[in-house]
Amino acid sequence: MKTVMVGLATCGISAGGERVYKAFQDELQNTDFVLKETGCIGMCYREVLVSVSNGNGTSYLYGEITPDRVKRIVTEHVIGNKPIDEWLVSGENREIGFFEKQHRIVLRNCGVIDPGSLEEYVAAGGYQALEKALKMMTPEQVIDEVSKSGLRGRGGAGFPTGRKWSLTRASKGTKKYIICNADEGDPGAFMDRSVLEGDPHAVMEGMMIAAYAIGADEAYIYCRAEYPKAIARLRQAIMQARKAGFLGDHILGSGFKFEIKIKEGAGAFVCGEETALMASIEGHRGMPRIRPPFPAQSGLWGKPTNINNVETFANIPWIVLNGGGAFAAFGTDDSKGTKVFAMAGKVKRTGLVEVPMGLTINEIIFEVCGGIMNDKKFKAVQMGGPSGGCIPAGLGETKIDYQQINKTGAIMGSGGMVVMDETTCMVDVAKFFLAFTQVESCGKCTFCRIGTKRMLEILERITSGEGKEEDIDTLAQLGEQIKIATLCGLGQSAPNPVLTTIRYFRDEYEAHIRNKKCPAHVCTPLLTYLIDAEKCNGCTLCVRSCPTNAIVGEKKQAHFINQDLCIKCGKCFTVCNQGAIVKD
Amino acid sequence: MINITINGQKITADPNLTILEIVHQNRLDKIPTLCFDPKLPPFGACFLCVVEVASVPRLLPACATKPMDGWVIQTRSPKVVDARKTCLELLVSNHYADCFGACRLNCPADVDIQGYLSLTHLGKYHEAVRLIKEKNPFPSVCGRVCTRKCELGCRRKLVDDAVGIDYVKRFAADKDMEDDDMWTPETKPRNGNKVAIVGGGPAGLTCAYYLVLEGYEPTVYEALPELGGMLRYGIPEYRLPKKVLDREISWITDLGVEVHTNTPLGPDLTIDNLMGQGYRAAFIGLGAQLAKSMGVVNEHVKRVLGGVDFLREVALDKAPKVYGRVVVVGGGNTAIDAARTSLRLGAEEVVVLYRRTRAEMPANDVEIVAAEEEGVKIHYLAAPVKINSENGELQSMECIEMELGEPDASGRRRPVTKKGSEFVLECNWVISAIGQDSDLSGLKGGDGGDPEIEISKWNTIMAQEGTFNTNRPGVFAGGDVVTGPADAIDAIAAGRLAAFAIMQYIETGHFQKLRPIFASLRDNLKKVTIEDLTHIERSTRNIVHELPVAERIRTFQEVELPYSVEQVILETCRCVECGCAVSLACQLQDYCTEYGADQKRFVGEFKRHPVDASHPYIILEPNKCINCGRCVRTCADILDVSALGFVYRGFKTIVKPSMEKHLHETNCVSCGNCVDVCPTGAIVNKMPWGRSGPWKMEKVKNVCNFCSVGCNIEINALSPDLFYVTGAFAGEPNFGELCVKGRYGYQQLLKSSRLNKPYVRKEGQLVPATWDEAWQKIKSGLGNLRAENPDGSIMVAASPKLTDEELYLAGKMARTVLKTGAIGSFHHELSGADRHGLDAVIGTTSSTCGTKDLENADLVLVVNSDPTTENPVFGWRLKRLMKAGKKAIVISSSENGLTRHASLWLDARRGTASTLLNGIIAGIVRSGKEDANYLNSRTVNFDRFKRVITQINLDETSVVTGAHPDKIEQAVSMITAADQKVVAVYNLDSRIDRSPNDLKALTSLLLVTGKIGTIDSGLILLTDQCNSRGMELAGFEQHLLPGGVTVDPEMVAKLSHIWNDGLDCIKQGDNVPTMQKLRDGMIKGAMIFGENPAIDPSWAKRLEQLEFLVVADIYLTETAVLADVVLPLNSYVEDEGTITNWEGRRQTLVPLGKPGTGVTNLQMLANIYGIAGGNGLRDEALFEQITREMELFVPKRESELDNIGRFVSRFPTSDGKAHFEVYGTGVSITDVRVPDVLVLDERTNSRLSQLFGQ
Repeated sequence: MKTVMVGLATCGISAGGERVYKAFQDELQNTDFVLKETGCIGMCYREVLVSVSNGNGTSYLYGEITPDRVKRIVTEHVIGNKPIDEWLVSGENREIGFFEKQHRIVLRNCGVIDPGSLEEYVAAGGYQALEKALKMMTPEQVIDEVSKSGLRGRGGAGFPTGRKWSLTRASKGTKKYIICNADEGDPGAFMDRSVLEGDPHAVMEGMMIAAYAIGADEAYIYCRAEYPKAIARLRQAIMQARKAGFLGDHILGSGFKFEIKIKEGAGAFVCGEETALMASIEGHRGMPRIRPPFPAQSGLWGKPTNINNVETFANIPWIVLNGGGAFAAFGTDDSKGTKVFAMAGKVKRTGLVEVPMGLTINEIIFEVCGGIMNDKKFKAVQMGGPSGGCIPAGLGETKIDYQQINKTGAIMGSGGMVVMDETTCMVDVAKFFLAFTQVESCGKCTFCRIGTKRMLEILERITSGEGKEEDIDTLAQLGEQIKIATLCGLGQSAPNPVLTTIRYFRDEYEAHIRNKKCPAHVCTPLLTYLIDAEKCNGCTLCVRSCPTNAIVGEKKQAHFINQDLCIKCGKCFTVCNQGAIVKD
Repeated sequence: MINITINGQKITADPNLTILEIVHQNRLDKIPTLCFDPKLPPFGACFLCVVEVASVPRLLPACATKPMDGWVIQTRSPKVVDARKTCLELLVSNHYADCFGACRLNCPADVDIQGYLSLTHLGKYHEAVRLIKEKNPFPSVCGRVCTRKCELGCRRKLVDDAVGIDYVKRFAADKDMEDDDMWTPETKPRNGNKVAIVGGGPAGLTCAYYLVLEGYEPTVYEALPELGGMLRYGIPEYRLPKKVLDREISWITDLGVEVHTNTPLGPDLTIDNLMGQGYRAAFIGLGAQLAKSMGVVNEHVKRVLGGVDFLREVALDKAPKVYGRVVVVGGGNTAIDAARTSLRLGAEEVVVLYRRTRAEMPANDVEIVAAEEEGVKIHYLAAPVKINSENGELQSMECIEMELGEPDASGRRRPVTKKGSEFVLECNWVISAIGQDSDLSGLKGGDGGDPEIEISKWNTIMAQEGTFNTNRPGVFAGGDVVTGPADAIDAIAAGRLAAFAIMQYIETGHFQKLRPIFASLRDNLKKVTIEDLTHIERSTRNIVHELPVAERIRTFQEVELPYSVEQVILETCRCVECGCAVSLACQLQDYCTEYGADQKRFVGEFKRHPVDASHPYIILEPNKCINCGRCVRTCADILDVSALGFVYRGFKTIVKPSMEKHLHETNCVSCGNCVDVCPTGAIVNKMPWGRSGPWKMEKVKNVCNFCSVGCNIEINALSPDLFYVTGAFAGEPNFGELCVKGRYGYQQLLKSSRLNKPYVRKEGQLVPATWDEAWQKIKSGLGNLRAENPDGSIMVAASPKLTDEELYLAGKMARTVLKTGAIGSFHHELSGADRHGLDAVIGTTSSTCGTKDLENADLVLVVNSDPTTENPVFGWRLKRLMKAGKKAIVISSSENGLTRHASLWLDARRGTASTLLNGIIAGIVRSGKEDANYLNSRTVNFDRFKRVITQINLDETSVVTGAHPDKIEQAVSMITAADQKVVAVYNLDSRIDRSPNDLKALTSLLLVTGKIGTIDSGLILLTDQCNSRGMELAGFEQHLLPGGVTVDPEMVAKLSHIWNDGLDCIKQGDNVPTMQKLRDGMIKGAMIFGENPAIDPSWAKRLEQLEFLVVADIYLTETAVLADVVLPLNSYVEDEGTITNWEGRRQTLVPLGKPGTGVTNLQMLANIYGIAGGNGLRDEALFEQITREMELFVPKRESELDNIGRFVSRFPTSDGKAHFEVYGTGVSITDVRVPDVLVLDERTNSRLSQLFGQ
């Protein structure tokens, strides 16, 4: 089919995808091309992405498309059948590395099909796995296959999915629930959102298979209200599935019945924790409770409940269809299959990648993502969101593997990777993540509620130049205590960014405290702006930009910054084209 | 069972228990926890209870973790202790509150100042003094001479002036002392441990006091003729009258302190020979009584005296006759004392020479002012250089002017001489008061002497701080001899702490410094400023009046006059109550003390919230909240109210009502259970007496008197008129829970309008009278009545709130000495209760099953009651059962506290419940689902009943009641489902859904289905009045005999024998109800105990027409004002006896002190009994006698319903069977009668105000 597809996931929309789509709508009116939208293709750094297929199997992917480029694409490529080489991202010599080391299981349909179309999903092999499970497999066999795949929970903790299912299946009770955790809250993470927006049926199919396996008949998708597009897609998909008989009673003619409801979360990070999530569905304040009992024994409304996250469910149909062994063929001894990562920070190609387990961090950063922006020095990567930790460049050869990552003090997490270069202050990074978890604490446990606040205050003190010698020890000590004396994963992991940065970048902390200097020149109160008299040509640009008249000097003579007046706004640094302003 | 190791000890444990439970059950340790509540599921919030498990990297909350086989657990490893300490430090870093006021923290002796100010405010002087004397046995002395460090710390100073703490203390102490009944502590039995106290000053006497309290035997050795030290010999009479000092000293020595005066340490008395005389320890409190020399030339000539020497001579009545100009050198209190004393002794002019300025002057400001008023001149910035003398006699003094230079070590600017400014001061006397020294010569001992006690270079004894031990074992020292000259309060503080160290030493051979009590202080987080006190209205300090100057300068009369009572009340109100009302009863504080938490370790941002005092009974202080969530969970899980919840996220998370409401704007039911569970002071009771405390109360177990549940309560009492109620954690029936009535109903009893003496009517007016007058009047009144009327013309009414014993005696009195069968309660009349509705049916109108049956039942039927408001503690329990899955059918015309949780709510119109029940019975019988076997074996008359009942059809029932036919059918099938155990709940006193014969219909339903008199099934009859069941058991009903049995000849004969009375009034078989007789004018006189029928005007009219009326009550009620004699009753907290709850649980009331009326209720009844002609009931033996006699009828046991339901084999009817009655079983609209009295308003509140007729 001759199609033009515009990437209209949230990433595409925010880059202006809807205007591009509109432009195509106008331009394609008199052609035989069909205009479609699709989900996230992964290359966030090149949005808006548009693919043009001529119907003969080849398709061309354009990046950074703006509405004013549409006309030319339609004229030259759609009508003229001549691809516009300079805008292509997948053409010759362009971005080959981005896809080379990726293997897309979860993202198999993202950016390929129209997520609003059940037909396209089915055409791409959708719901075949459900049919296979219902008609050819017993629930036990399904669980066996999932166990064989070695799939571990992709939400962060990495609990073996097969085992979780068999525990829930083994729990007594006729009423059981499936919950899909779509409360993706890590800053910088958008794996689940992209899957929900790009391939909602895959997630639902995974849930249906899980429900069949454990004996549940009702499910909730707990999705944050900040994902309106994903929620809209899910609602649409549920309606389509119900209409097509994939939901409701007697699914595919079997005795299996199943319903899915959507519960919109109000944006509390802690509601990603399974017990808090269930409390939230039940209408209570999202506060974690003590386990045991585990949800598998007593979950939603006291019934056995199986909770997996979006990515985990999205893997299931593929596993059932292709066999657990095929999945287990990817990865390492400990960690099987592929993993989706949201790449953010100082890396050349930001976006969504799905790689087999066992790749090294360096491979992902330098090969898949093309290395560090502006070719600066790779310093560290924050893995696992605010609950994770900072892995220094020196450990770049660490393999993507649950055990290996844990050894570094970080965690696999749900797949957020924030890459940092030499201009990143590690104390500042720790402060950023801790500030996030601190306000997101549910407020229940003493150590989490007050302890993280006190740690944050110490970090604030350090970054404003008022650090005390004993602060590092206090942070380390308090951090360890918070980790071991809180109820849920949020508190237990909240100190990780601080503890790992102290572990790998202690010298930076010491520089802040002892020398009152920020080596990466990030922490404003510790900065001094100076003018290099050699380089200053007395152009007065800086004088005119300074809001406090702190810069003095005659025209064409070296200028001088009066430190008493300087408010360290950095304007002079930005305007100086001689590179004469120096941060110290 | 599993095997685990805890702290090295192998334990076999139940795997269903948590670590906390296992550790506590085995008494292995006391694990601290703030968020755990045994009544609630584990929450795991505070993480204070953490323990360490080998090979588990995390610390586990003991409150929520069930151990696994083989676990090795440590409850106090360094890691655990460290985490707990950090946890507490984090909590208190966000606890912006003061445990104690700054006054207390500033007081060297740690006296609970806020506490005694409050007590003094309320006129509780003995209690105030008792509190002070926990730390300081010299309140009268200190109330006059203390340097008042407390006032320096007073927060009130930020607003205006410090509270006049010391004046209030003096007032309370003087009041206590003026009273013959001066507070005196109990001392422990003597333990034979002798302690020598060398020096009878404040340090030594204080030490002796705390030793003698604990049974030790102190002996005081004093060098001078009398005890008191510097208090006697250093402080002039006009500041501290000797008689005040004498009284306070003799009060101590009278407790058993041996005293040797005129016995200085020296060659004859050495520490060595003291220790050889069998003293286990010695305390040296020699003081500092030598005047320091000025170090100028000719200092030792005549008429140059040392300040303390001068004052001592005066005290010893050897005062030198000073005259002319007296120059006093120095700026301390001694200097001022010497100056003012000189004036009084006859000096014409007194000049004080001080080398610095007024600002640096160490003497108390008030003293300086007083001295100046009296004419003392103070020459600042001048110092002596030389004494000019002639023939060894003083001529004049050469002085030099000074100026202030650089600050010295004390921070004060150092005075330096001004060159060439010398001047000569002509004078007749010079008194040097520039400081004191200790005389340690006695310590050196005689030949060979004592082994040297270490002396510092300042000539003081070296003693350890906090423990006061010297280098010599068993020898302790404190006061000025250790610190150098200081204040009396410092010596007192030292004396007390030394006493504890000495006792520890004697008992254990070693001693430790007492761990300081943790004190949260707002200033630790942020200095409190005037901005924090903007809610305080300005008011100036009450001025202490003084003798006029002219009057005082020639006498030694006390200069400062005491506060008046009015001043004390005003001044104590000025206290801003910084300290916490629950300090020392605060778990957070206790744990912080135990773990040595430091509030300043994590100082950072802290939350500040306004205090919510909007609620009538409860104060929320979120600043103190530690988010343990116990209140939230209690309110939600136990009460299903959820007035409180967690609000916000992260660090800001706080417990408070939602939507920024105040507590009184929520659906709070005022039960106050949140107060009981709060582990700190974040939720506290609002005390009805104005001041917040803290109060140290005695706890007395008691039983709530406000409904038939009979909850166990704890009376927290300071005195019989100052107490409050909390829940007692004693299992059934309430497991520590209370409702608003139980918890706050007591406030009704604190009203000043309580009756405390009898009244009699004289010339138409009720006037106060003595008890004798009242007895006299009753005697003549009853005599006249009985002379002019036949037997049976007098009625005796009593409230079902009286005790079993009182009701029994009242009944006995009526039936034997007054010869009347007219007894009963107006309460049933007023509530319209069908009090005897079931007597003919099952032989009794009381519960046939208990709480256990309720728990075991499969289905609960609730009719004519909303226990969640009428009997809340029972109601909440029922509601919890329902929420946990217990099936229930609620028949109620309107939504109530149970309808939401009911499996089926039948909303029959008001007054149609019996119609509905009849319809249900008809449905059951028609469908043949009645229990035929049961009906055959246990009942009679069913056939007749069946004929009538089956005429009812479903549609009619539905039309009349408004209940949907489907629902009625559903009820039928629920009740008749196989093997159902059914318990029905009905409130006799409830009026909302009363309909005629509903109780009979309900019982018929149970009979038809075989659900009464069978195990785990039956009828629960609740009442509003606490002792309704006791009233029956005591036989205080016209047709009941003691034991609760109906009148039959056999029982009457038995009773007649025991009571030794013909009991004609019973035998005559009078069937006219008592109240009917009153209505019909057959009653001519009445005695009414604790009831207020006159709130109903028709009864009031009847009572007015009586010839003679005696009313006993706790208030002057509407009924009492009609009486000829009014007698005061004691309330349930002052009363002795038992009350019986709906289950038949007979519980004992424990009186709080002696009866406020002077006569117990029972004795009052016994007296009337005697006056009316009975005898043999008197005094101490009375209670036992009644109890013994009652025992014959009502054996005392915990509950008549324990374990199994009553009547499982036979009903208490003549033939043991239940008798079906054909009551008005019709369904026509005309049968529907709306109850006479409608109570539609907030029942709880209106009931509360009706309690005891108020």
